[in-house]
Amino acid sequence: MKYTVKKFISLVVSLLFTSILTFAAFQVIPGDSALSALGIDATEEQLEEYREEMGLNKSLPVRYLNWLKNALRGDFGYSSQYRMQIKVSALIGDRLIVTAWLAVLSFLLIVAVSIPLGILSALKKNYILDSLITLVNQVFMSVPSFFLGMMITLVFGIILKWFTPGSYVNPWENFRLFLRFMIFPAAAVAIPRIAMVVKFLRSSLLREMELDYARTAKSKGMSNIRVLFRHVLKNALIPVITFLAMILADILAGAILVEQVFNLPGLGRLLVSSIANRDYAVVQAIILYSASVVIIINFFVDLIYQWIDPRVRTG
Amino acid sequence: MQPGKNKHDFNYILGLSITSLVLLVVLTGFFYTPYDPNKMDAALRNSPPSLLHLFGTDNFGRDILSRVMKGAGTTYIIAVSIVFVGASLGTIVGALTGYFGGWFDEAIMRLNDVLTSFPSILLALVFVSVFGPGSYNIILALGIIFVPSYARVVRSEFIVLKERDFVKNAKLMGAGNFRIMFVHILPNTGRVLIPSLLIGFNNAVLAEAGLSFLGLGVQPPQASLGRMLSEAQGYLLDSPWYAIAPGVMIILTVLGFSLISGGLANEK
Repeated sequence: MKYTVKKFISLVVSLLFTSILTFAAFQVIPGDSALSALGIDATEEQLEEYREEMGLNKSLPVRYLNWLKNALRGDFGYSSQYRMQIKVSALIGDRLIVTAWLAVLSFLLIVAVSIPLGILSALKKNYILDSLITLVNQVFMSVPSFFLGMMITLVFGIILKWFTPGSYVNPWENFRLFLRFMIFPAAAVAIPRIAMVVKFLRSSLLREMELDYARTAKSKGMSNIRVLFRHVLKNALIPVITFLAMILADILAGAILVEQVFNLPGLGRLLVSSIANRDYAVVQAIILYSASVVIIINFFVDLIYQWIDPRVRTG
Repeated sequence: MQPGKNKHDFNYILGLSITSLVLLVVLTGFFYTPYDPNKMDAALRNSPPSLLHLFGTDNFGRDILSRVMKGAGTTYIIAVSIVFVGASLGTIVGALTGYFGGWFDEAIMRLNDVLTSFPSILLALVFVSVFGPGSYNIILALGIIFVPSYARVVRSEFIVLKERDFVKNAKLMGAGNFRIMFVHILPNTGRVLIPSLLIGFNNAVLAEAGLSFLGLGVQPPQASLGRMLSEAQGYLLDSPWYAIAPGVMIILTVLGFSLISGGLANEK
């Protein structure tokens, strides 16, 4: 219980810290946001009125608290790249679903492929095979996901014609077509990470197989496969869970690039276009959002971790 | 034989060969390229690989091999600068926190934890959106973002090494803290620092490529591997060779260095 409380406090502190950083980072940008919102034709009176209305005249801590209060209610103001016509929250809401689907699909792919592969690669152990597995893994880990996305488009889209590049369908229009298209970007995000997880799981399994309890079981005549599944796997998977959580944060980064390749209307493309258009309200909202997701995931992983492995609590 | 225990295993040698080949191409590119990498030729637009243009030409009729040679050079210079900024700051932070410990260490390490849990490209995007795109900002942004990764490695080495006899001897002989840290301890951290420099270089190459791909890194007409990929994306249908050349160059670079660093890390 004490552990949970401690982790919860650290969660709140991290979130607060992130929000301060996100807010402060955009305060150093030179320029007058009232002027950029109203245009150069605005009179001094209009500018003053706008500043008053938006609370721009207040001191920095007060403005931070106001921003945070609105942000907690999901209100990030209006987007300047859409001429202050669209609310940031509405803009993000639509895109979020696309990125969330991309993340979930790639994560499922990673787990479904890498865990069997990792176990398989740990079962047989000899010098040539080991080198080969390491090499294949390293090759896939070296491919940037956006280049992989381009190659997938080239091979499966242009040459094999399994899908039409750029033919993204909204999930609420036709969910099956949406999934059929999304599997390709998800593969681009997943493949380099599958290689990472396989490498990690394999070395975790091999390390565990060398421990006394596994060797005892083997010396009593248990077969390698039985030892692995009955005794070792449970323990070897524990560090993999943390690693998978790190991968989840990494998927978010991969998604930013892969969305660009496949022309997906997700958060990543919105972020990039907002940076290019200096639409800081949107940038702030996306950064705060993604950072919070990463922190909250880490919090839950810590909790799951101590539930599976009691040594964490006491140690 | 235990795999990988031997430094001279197959993958290590392969890594060395790939890296030498790639470095040879890039270093040559600083002095000689078959064609002017920025010279456009309308007659040669999107021509496939041939004996005259080994990797073909791009949408402006520029020779892709020459552009890859020059572009990889740009990417390498940026990556080396990123590693330099990150590793030198990281070493200082890691040395101070590892050697002195205490609340300072505690506070810096918590900050490190928070920073490393975020994807580096996300932090780089924040930096770029505040300070604007461009090569110098990328170097500064990514350099700072990679500080924690070096600091962590150096710190853990310092914690172990500061208890060793040679450090105690130096202390007895009256050496000051800073002399002990940077003259006595630091040279002994090479065993872990060098593999992490290689990995750091890889991460820097990938991050530069990613940011330039998004149009937020190296600005045209300068060529870099990520920049070329971003331009090639629009011509995937007509001239796929445009994307393949810089992409393969990135893969070979990253692969070579990670195989070498894997070999070095196994040699204990």
